[in-house]
Amino acid sequence: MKILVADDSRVMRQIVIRTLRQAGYDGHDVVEAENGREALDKVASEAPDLVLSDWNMPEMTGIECLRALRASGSAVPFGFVTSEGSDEMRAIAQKDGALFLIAKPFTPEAFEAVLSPVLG
Amino acid sequence: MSAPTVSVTDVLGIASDVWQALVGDAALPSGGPPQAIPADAVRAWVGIDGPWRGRVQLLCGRATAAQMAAAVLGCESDQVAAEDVDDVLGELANVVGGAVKSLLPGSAALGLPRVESAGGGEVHGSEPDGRAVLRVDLVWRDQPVAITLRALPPTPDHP
Repeated sequence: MKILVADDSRVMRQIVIRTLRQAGYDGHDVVEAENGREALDKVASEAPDLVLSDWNMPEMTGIECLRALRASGSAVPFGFVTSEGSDEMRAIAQKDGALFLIAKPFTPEAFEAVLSPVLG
Repeated sequence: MSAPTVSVTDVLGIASDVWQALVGDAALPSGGPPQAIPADAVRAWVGIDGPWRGRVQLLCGRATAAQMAAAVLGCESDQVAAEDVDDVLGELANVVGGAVKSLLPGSAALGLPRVESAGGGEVHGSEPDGRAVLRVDLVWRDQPVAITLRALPPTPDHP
C-alpha cells in the first residue's frame, strides 16, 4: 500500500514515517508532500491508499486539501496528524471527511489504533 | 482577553509530554533561579489569534537547539544541518503552541512556526514581540529552555 505524508516540516515527516515503522507499518511505500497543494497534486499522480496530513501548512492547509479532494470526488482515506487536537478541530475534520485526527505528540500505539482499521 | 487561561502547571505538563515524546528525554522545571539563556540564542514561536491573541515562544541557546534537533533526529549534534535545527525548534513551538491553544476558550487560529536568532537575550525579529504574561523556565540536559506566552494587543475582531 502507499501512504502520502503531508507536512511542511521535513523533520516531522521523518518522525511520522519513523512512527509508522514503529507501529508495524514498515512494508508500505511512502510519498511526501510539503504542503496541501502538493498533497492534492500527489493524490492525483501517486494514487495513495491513505493520506496523513498536517493541518496548518503554507500554500494550502490540510483541511483545504481535504475539502478539495472531497469536492473533486476523491474518497481517498484521509487522516490528520496535527498539533491541534481540540474537540472543535476533530469535529471539523470529521465533518469534512477525515477518518481520524492524531494529535502531536503521538505514539506508535496511537498510530496503530487509528490505522489498523484502514491499513489492516 | 489580556491574559490566557493557561497556568504554569499546564505549560509544564505540555512541555513534559512534548519533550518526552519528540526529543526523547524530559525537560524539567528549573527548580531554583533559572539559568541565563546563552547570548547566542534562537527562538521559535507560533501565533495564536482568537479571543486571546499572542505568541507561544521557545527560547534556548543555539547549541541547545542543535542538541535537541540531534536527539529528535537520532544523530550527533555536529551532523545536524542548520535548517533542521530550525525545523525541529519550529515543530517544538508548533506542538507546544497547539496544546496551549487547545486550553484557551473560544475559537482561534494557530499560525505557522517562525524561527529567529535571539542574540544577547534580545530578539531580532521584525514584528512586535508582545508582553510576556507567563514564563516557564525548564532545564533539558542541564541547559536552559524558556517557554513564554506573550500577549499582543487586541484587534477589532477580538477587542
